[in-house]
Amino acid sequence: MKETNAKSYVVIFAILIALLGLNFALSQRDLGCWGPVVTVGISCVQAFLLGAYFMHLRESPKLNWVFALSGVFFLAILVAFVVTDNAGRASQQIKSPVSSWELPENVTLPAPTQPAK
Amino acid sequence: MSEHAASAHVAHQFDTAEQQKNASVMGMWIFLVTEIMFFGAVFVAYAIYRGKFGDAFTIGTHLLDLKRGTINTLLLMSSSFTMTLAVLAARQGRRSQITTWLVTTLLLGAAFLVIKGFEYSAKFDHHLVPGPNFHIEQALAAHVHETTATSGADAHQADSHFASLLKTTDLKHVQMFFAFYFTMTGLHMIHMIIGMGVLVFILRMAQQGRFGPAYYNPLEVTSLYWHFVDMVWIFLFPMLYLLGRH
Repeated sequence: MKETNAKSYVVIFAILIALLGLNFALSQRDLGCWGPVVTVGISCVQAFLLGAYFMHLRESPKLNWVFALSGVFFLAILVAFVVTDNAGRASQQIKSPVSSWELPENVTLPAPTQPAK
Repeated sequence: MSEHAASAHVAHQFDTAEQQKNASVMGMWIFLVTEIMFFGAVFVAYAIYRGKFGDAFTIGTHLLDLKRGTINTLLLMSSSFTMTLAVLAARQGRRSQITTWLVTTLLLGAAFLVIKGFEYSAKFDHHLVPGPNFHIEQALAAHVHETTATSGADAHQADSHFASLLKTTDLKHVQMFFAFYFTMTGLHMIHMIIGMGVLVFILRMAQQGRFGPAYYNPLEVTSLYWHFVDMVWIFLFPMLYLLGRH
C-alpha cells in the first residue's frame, strides 16, 4: 500500500481551496440552469479528493472503496426515486374540501333514488 | 520489538494488527454510509423545494451571511487538513506532533462553532427563525444597507435584480428556505459537537502516548468521521450560500 506523505496532503489541500475559490467565482456568474450542476459538480470533485486522499481510500483495501461507493449508490437510488415520484405528482395544488361535509366545486351528487315500497 | 508491541494491541478475535485495523476502518465506513443517507435525504428534500420555489429560495440565499459562511468553510477544510496531519504523525511515530495537530483541529472546529453562533444570533435578531414570528422585513433592510455600503455599479445592478425578485416572488416560501437552513446547518453543527467531544477523548489517548505506527485505530476512525463532517459542509455551503447568488 502506497502511503501518502505530508507534501501530497499540502497539494491536495491547496487544490481543495482552489476548487472552493472556483465554486465561489462561478456562483457570481449567471450560468442559467447549469448553475446548480456546476456547483454540485465541483463539490463532488472536492468530496472525491477528500475521500481518496484525506480519508486514505487510495491506500486502503479495495473493500473500503466498495463500502464508500455503496453509500453513493444508495444515495443515487434515494435521489432517483424521490425526484421521479415528485415529478409524477400534480403540479398545481388540488383544491380539497374544507371539511368532509363539503364537496369540491365541480362535483355534483346524483339525485337520491326512492326506496322501493 | 515493534512486532511485540503491535501484538500487544491486537484483540483476541483478530489474527493480525492489520486485520484489526481494516475491520475498524470498514466499520466506520459502514456508519458513514448511514450518515450519507441521513444527510442525503435532507439534501434531496432541499433540492426538490429549491426547484419548486427557486426565486423565494434565492431571496433566502441572499439573506445569508456569505462572509461568515466562507470563513467557516475555510476553517473546516483547514481542520480536515490538520486532522490528516495528526494521523500522518501517528503513522510516522512523531508522538508530540499528534497532540499538536489534534489541538489545532479542535481549535479550528471551535472557531467554526463560534462563528456559527454569531450567524445564528443574527438570524434570531432578524426574525428569520421559522415560526409565528418569522418575517423578512428586518433582514431585508439589513441586506439593502449592506449592499449600498459596498458601492459600485455591480452592487447597484445586483440590488435592482434582487429588488425585482422581491416584487415578483411569493415571499411565504422564504420561510421554507430558512426551515431547511436551520435543519441542515443545525444537524451539521450537532455532528461537529459530537466529533469534537470524541476528539477530546482521542487527544487524551494521544497525550497518554497510546498511539504510534503499530496502533492508531481510534485516531484513524475519528479522522474518517471528521472528514465526513467536512464533506457534508462542502456540499452544504454551496447549496445554501452560493446557489442563485449572481
